[in-house]
Amino acid sequence: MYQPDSFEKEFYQSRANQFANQVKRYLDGNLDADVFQQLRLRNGLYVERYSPMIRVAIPYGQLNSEQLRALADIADRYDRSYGHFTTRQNIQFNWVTIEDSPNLLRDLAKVGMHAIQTSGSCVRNITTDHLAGISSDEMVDPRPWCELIRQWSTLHPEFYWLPRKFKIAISGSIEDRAAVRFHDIGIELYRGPANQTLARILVGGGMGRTPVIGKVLKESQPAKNLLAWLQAIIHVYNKHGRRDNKYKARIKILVNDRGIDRFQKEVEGVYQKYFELQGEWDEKRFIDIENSFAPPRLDDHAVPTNIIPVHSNHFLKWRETNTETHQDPDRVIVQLPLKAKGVAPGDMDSENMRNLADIADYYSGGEIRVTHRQNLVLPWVHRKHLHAIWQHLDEIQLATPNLGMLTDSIVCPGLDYCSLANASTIPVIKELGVAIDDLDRIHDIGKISLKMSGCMNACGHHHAADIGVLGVDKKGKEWYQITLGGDAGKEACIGERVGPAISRQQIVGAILNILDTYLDIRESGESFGKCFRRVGVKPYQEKLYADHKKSRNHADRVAA
Amino acid sequence: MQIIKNREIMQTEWLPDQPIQHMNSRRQILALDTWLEQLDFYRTSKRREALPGVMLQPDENLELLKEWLTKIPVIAINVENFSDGRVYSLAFELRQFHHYAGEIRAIGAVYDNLSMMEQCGFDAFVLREGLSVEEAIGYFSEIEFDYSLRTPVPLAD
Repeated sequence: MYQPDSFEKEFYQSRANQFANQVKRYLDGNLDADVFQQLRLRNGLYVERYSPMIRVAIPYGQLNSEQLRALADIADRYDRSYGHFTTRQNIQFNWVTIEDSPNLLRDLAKVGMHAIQTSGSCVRNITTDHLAGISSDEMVDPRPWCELIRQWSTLHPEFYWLPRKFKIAISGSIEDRAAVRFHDIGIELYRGPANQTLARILVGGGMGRTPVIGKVLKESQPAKNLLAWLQAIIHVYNKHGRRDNKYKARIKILVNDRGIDRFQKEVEGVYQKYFELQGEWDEKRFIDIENSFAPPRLDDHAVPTNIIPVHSNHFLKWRETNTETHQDPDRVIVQLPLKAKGVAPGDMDSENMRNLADIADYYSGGEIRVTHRQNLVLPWVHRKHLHAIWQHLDEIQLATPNLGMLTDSIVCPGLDYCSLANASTIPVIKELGVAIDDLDRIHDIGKISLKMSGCMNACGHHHAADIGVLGVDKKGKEWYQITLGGDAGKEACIGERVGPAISRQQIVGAILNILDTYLDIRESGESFGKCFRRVGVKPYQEKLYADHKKSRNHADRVAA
Repeated sequence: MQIIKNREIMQTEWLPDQPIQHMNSRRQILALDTWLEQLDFYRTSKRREALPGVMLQPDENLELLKEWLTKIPVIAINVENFSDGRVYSLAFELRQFHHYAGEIRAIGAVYDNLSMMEQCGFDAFVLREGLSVEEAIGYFSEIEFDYSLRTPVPLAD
């Protein structure tokens, strides 16, 4: 995987020093609060509901074991000994102080990490397929392109103060695991007839309060012209995106207002200029980047003799659910859902970070990946080690066999941490976990995506879920809107609302109700999405609100 | 008036916001509207070779100025809001798309971001009142790192 060199580490260090100076001026009263806010956001520092929070960049979700250990140390030193993996493949520390934050950034810099542009109105962490370079359906490895774009977008002088945050995702496989159609810019890489790398560029997708599916801006562009296209698109957005209303400031609004044809013409006009400015494509430099993504040197230790393989049902279930086919037939992709019962989705404590770093060193070439579904991946596990690694993972609660299933839900931090939230999310998911604490039942339901956001910003990607839950505020009370049938993949679509919002007391029951309806009406082997496209929202609606009414009448009678 | 120009502290004679009757004073910076009103005058005047400076707002279009750019010695860009990225694109367009070679001066909410402004083509800065000019000189070199694949943005001469 890509390793930052000494120049980059120095750069992150000088960035931390610059921030230390800004913090000092702010605390001394020599820097205006609104200016400091903009500066701290671009260093990943938010001021949240109860405490400042720092969001650390994990470029396209790739970590090495040394970095994971450093994150564990940071969790102990600056936070309450845990961190939270996010839907942008980053990690957040929820209980830090403004005064400590420069030192936290200096500690990160030592292992080639940083928090640059993890918040604020600028180009954010580039995300990609968490199975890049290892999946069996890959056409182009997107990671070198992610790295190229990461370098280009870091402290980009022209595009550091955009109208609003800007998210780019890249996919290079048949299945889209990066949700490129829900990004400000989505890029799909594929091979042309002469095996050259081509790009399809989509623009103006996004979630938030106005969910929009990205539109194709350009097809079949040589990938080496990508940077010129990105510059042209973001230049037009930087100049014309709305700055008077932050809810109308994302590029999707500009694209919709102008229409894709006019927007495309404007971009093409500027593209030519950037294309001429960029000069010759530096093939050698790109090959260097590509080479940095060569598979790690793997030491395939002999299977430890003290571990006697007992192929229990637990193991078999785990192997079936949490592992995937690798490009290399000797290897297996091992997924680690951070969704054990009673744990907030995406959370991990420092002890487990260190445990996992050791496991990754021994079994996976020291590499760990973060997925946008708030899980982790060990990408280089040898087939013969599967049973041994399962035992290690099971001991530290990282072998819950629920990948892609109901309890592997995506959830934003909600009211427990976030100052934007209207409603709590984590307690709802924990409650649901207790209500459905039966692996057989979860496996019977099968693959299904449940995603939950605590407010309109949709950090939990609820629009793109089989079952989406959105927290809303009604007169100071927590309510929830349910949407069904959304999809983040190549058949991207936005979930449809089932009906009026459901109260906090009834939301878990409502989710169970929807699951029951699905089990009743699905045909053999039919996924939730397929079933939904066949029957629509109606059966869910009827059942949910009929039962809902019944239980309310019942409650009224009891109260009377 | 004290400004930072090419990373040095110096005095400038080019001043914005002078009343119109001072048109004959040569070193003025006029709002774009006012500047354009004088276009006919410039066309006939001996001053064709040394026009007044122009003050641009973040949303202004450069089309109207295009043919005059080689004659304008100073273009000031008003940074209305610290986080308004349009001024960066405006400076970039002036330098890269129109090859403007005169001074591009940032005025208004000019704080810490001098290095990025410089990379986009600004070469002169009037800091927000109350900030230390001496300290601000240091902001240019806080981070000396650039990924080489970025579009090169040469500094103005």
